[in-house]
Amino acid sequence: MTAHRHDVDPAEPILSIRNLSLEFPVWRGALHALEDVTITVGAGQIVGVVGESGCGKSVTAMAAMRLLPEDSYRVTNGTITALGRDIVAANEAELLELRGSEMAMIFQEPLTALNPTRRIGDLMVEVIRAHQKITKSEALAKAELLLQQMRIADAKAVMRRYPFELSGGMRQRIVIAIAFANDPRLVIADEPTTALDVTVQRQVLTLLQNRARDVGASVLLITHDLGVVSEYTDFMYVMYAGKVIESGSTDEVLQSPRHPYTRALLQAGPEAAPPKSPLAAIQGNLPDLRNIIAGCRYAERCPLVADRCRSSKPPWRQDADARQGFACWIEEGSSA
Amino acid sequence: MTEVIGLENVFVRFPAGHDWLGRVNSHAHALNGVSLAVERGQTLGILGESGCGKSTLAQVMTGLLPPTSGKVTGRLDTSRVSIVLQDPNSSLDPRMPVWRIVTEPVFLHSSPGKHSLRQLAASLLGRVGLRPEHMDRHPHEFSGGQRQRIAIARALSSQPEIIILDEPTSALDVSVQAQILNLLLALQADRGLAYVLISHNVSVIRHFCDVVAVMYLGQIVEQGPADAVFGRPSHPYTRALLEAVPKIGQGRAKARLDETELPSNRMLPAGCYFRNRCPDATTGCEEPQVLRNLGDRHLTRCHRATA
Repeated sequence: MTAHRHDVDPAEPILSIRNLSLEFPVWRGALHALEDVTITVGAGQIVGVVGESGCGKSVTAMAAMRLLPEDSYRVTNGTITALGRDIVAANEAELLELRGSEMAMIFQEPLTALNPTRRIGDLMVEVIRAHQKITKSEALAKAELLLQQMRIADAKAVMRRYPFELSGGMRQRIVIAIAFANDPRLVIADEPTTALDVTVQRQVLTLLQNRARDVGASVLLITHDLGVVSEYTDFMYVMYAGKVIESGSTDEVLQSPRHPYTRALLQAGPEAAPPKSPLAAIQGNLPDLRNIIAGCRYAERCPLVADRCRSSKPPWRQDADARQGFACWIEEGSSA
Repeated sequence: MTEVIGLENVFVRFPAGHDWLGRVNSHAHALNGVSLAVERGQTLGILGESGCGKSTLAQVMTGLLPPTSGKVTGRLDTSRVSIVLQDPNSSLDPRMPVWRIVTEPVFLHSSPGKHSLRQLAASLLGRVGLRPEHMDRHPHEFSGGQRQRIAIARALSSQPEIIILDEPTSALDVSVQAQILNLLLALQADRGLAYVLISHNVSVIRHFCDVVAVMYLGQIVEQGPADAVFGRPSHPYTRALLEAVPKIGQGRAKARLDETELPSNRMLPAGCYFRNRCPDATTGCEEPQVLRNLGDRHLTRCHRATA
């Protein structure tokens, strides 16, 4: 642990996004990308955020790291607190100190995340020495150890290579090694395995999970794959059109989904129907987020839609033991 | 059943390196002896990971790429084979109106008048669930799923007997993927089309295909009826692939790690291609493996497999 680390109350969540509303100004209006998003990641937890394209999961991740271009968006409501710091109010110097050390990010496409003109070893040394006061040779030794922990066999030789010389799985393991270079307490992984084959995906996710467990880091895992959420997360959030529509412990949400969208998403997968039989596709399209939507954002595609779904926002309903919650008007006990 | 297209011992290699005189001195071996047949009305699934040669196979089947050696049979006329590609953003010409895009294959073969082409476009768009009034729009005015419907309409326009589907849904969300798969199944039932579905997605292949061929490093390592291959996978690679798919409701993933680096296709391994990654490798694996019949048209390229 380095000296600049702030002590955080262990009972406090590592990342707490509360009632966050965020919009992108566009011509004659705004695109309401996030509305009232609340996401909490506890210490040592692996938390999944799942949803289809346009649901706001990547915007949430970028906002949590404050990586969105500063002029392009407005936070209209809510707070983001990571490791006891107010991310919305933080200045650039504080962010530089946090990012890459206590908070790290893993992107979808490792080839664009790695500088193509630098050797792997140089990239890693730069990241390590930006946050730790150690010599270059100490940093090189640390980089080699990090690569070995990512099961890269010939770490010394790999450090002399350029990113394009390596396979996709190898590149993503290096990105993870870099993310863990300064012992982060929060890692945000945005679709880390979408560009990879399934056998490689399993290896990369298992390494990510094991590494997080070993150092006690929390992970926010963003994905569109419900199978990945099921096998790698403790707690999950389902997002649709900029809103969290259901959350809960992963097993409970997947076994007994409460929101009609979560149910539809589970039934649309090819695993859910016998071979050759029609799949339960979700009809319709995402609403245009430039419009102000008075009611539920899923109303136009929902099979259970009623009048009040269009006119007023659905309440957040929470189970008695607070392990599962969902935003919908449907009554208790009714089924889709 | 009649065979629509057949491949006999097809090899494809690409020049990959030159010496100082420009003479080719190394090759990438993309396909290493592939034989298969697709029958009328049938769906063949080609399952494999990146670099296994499945897209090269699609190009050979459509006639875009001549095999280095081996034979392609049954493809008498190229208008009888169509292809739907992975990314509709790059496979549709952004400057063409939709009616021109979907009738392009017909226009290239017989160039009928504009009026009959527009009539054809209207009926094709209706058939794939798009509104014929939108035929003067351009691709950018449609969503990803709608664009893939346009690509399917184009593939249908030349009245093919077989459509090659190269990762048709991998750029789409699950809910849209379901719409596209439903459409493809309905079209097949209507027209008795044969499909070759190329995908890395095990669930899509399992849902969609009658016969499955699993590829590894340019070879078919297992082939047979879908229920046999998925129900009783006999090749260690097929088993590794099926186990790797993340599943809902199976609980937490095991912490076990497998070797995943694919051998280079420049220097093909001696003996079984999967030997270095195989958990069951033993004596006999250093011999080249042949596809053996386990009975009931279930073939496997592993000497240890039993029916």
